[in-house]
Amino acid sequence: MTPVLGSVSLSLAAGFGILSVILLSLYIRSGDYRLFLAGRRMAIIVSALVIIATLLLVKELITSNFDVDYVAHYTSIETPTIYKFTALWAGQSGSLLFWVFILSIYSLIMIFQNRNRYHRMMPWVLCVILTVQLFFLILTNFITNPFEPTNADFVIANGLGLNPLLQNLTMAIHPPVLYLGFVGFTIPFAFTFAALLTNEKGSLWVRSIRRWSLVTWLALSCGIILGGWWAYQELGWGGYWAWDPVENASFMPWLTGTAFLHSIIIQEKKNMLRVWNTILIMLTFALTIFGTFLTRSGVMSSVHSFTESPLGPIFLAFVAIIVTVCAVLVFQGLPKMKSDKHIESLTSRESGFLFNNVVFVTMCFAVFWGTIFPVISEAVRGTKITVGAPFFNQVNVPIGLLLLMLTGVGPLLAWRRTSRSNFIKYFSIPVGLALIAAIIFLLFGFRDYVVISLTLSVFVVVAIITEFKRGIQARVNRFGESSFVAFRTMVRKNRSRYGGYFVHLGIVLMFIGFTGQAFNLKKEFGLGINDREHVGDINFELKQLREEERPNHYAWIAELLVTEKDGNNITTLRPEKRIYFHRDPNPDRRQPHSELDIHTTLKGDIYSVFSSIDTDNGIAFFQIMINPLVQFVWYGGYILVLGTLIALWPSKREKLLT
Amino acid sequence: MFSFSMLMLFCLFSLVFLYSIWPLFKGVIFNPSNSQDTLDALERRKSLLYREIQYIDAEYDIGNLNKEDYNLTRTELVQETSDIIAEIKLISSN
Amino acid sequence: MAPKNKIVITVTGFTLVALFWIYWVTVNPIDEKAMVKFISVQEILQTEDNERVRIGGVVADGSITLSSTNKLEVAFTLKEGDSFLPVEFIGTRPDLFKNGAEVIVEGLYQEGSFHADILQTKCASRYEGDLRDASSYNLDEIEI
Repeated sequence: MTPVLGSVSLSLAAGFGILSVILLSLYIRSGDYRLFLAGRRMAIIVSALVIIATLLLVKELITSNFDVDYVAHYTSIETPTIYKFTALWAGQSGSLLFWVFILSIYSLIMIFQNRNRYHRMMPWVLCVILTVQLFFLILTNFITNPFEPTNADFVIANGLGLNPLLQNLTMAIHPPVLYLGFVGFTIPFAFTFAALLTNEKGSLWVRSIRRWSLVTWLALSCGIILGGWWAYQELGWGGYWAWDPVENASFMPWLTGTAFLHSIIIQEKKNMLRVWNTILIMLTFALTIFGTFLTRSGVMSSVHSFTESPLGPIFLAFVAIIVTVCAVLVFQGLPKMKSDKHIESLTSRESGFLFNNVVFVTMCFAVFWGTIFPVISEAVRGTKITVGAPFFNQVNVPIGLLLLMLTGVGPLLAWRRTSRSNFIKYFSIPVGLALIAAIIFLLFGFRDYVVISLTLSVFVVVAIITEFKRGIQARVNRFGESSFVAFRTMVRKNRSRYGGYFVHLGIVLMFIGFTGQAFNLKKEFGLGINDREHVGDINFELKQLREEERPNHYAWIAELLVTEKDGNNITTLRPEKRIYFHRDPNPDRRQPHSELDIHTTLKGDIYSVFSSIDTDNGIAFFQIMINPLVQFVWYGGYILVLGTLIALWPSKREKLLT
Repeated sequence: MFSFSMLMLFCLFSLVFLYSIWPLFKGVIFNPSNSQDTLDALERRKSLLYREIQYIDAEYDIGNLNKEDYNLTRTELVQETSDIIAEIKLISSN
Repeated sequence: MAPKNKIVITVTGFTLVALFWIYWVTVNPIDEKAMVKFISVQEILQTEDNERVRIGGVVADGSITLSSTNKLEVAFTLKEGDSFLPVEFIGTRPDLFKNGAEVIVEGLYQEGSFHADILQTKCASRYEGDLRDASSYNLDEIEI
């Protein structure tokens, strides 16, 4: 009964969705407010029905109703309850339903927030959101229905279950957090689209979507970092970012989204860069749909698998429609959108933001180019050329360093133009200290990108500190407050800016973490008991090899004594080699899995993988990696989140404007 | 297949559908989008301007804005604010 | 020069430099692993070229042979359709590497066998499309 209800909910949602769009369109033409009220109610019902359908699917998952194909495929009776729940987004149809589920929640919040304002824009905003909802509803109704019954003549006693590799908490939270970010950009996009169509000038509506955009951006950032964290902790190759198409799919909208967040500050304060902002948010939204397409359609593995399911072409068509409609609208609206004000100087804050936009879009294009190059090369020349991490690293490192530099330079520039004396006054200390640092780094023997990266990091940190100092000093001078009180008041009165500086600090830490990769060491070797091997200056000795039978797997546990060159004890690492389904008579059904052990310090991680065991000769094979400074990436991430929360924290006055 | 639960569901659906189209049967409603939006927008613009003035005061103190730009911008903002206050008074007194 | 023109020129200049840079890295990457041709087993058996390539296929059943001297060294046969390619690889084997596993290898074809320095198995965590085929289910059957 429930699966039927679920399917029916989805069909009804689609029906109400179409009706709502019709009513809202009629309202836009006629101005009869009753049409708007009815249309808005239907929009609410659409979202409610999607939420109901999703809850029904969750119920089927948790109660293990294997008559539903999706439940049988992604869970089993033994699957722990939490992973029965997270199976909601594990498969294709479930994840598409989940996408529109999140959008529906966002839609309800947005409708509630704006129930008494923006009456001219709202019908358009709702139409945009409904169109996106309808797209996913068409997919889940006709192409991949999560409530599809199991196609079997027999009663199904147990499902396939979830791969043990996926049964850990990070992997469980990573998709929903990412989706909260991805999907969220639909709202600012809808508003921008509406503003364009209703000729809404000015900076008011930009201010209200600023909050939405920041929350979405935070979720997307967390999702990306969580993905990297999971890869590092679980996959065993010692890295956190491989420039994989799926990773790039989430990174591209992050790039344009970050540019958008910065650029709308200028639109708010100076009503400039309107065209840029419109294009940036449209790009960001289009990239989120494109990203969903990349992840879901399988196009990256081969152009052939792309055409097997109609999902791929439909997604691509939707992206094409979005891009075309947006391009036409922007082109038509260009004369009205262009600001009458102009950037007055190359060394102005406004120009800094403009460059910021250009650099972010450039990096986004570089990533996009590398990601779709294989598809293009196959389509154009017949040979598929895979693009690996070295390409992305080589292209993006200089662009990234440029961004790092802008992070420091931007806040030091004045509005409109920076006078020569001010330029010297504000830049001399950060630049000076950075140069001294550069000399020190060169003396230490660092070269190339490492020196540049570390020098720029110093530059940015000093620049941020001077910014804080200037703000505090200004308050002390004018209001006579103590430094501490001045600091607190200053942050409180301008959370966006100072929260933003914290975010930048987090980014600097992450860059330091990235730089550590230049010093990564990796070695593979076999050890018998009491054998020794070294990686760099660190020694590894196999002290013990134990075996253990556990409830759902068999484990070999290695005890590695890790010491420094001079003999000092660092730690004991205990990587494991596990075999899941070890009692299965078919040896090909048994699943080996390496459980890593990592020794973490600020200076670096010692990463150990128990790769295989030669039981005949009693030799265990290990893969050891030394990853200097990698913890800076995660700590930078925490500070980034902290800074964003500071920026988001509501102040009393905020209620008036959002 | 006719069952009690199907009947209940159909009733529920009808109620929901009726709820959604109910506004269509009311008499003609005054469209708030015209004056309401304008007044609303003016009020929000006014708050924004207050904030802006405070912002550039702070920016000038910190040194991100030079004296003439500061004076120029401040005068513009204050002028716009007083214009808006006048307009709000006009509309609300109608 | 008016500031506006200065800015337009600088932005355009930067954009051109950036586009050129992207183009440059595409055709002249520092690392040979940046842009690698992906070909089929059939093609590599016929080709005369000696360039680095990437090949995908399935591990032929029963073909995995570990070296007796170095347990990190493995030889196996990569099967794609009806074509077979002998492969040698030295290094840590991925956990999912076994008979019938879908793998991707990267390296050079020399003297009749493929010397791979990269061996990857299809990521188990990638959420697959539907597998509506009942034979792929690991289900207990109860007769109705």
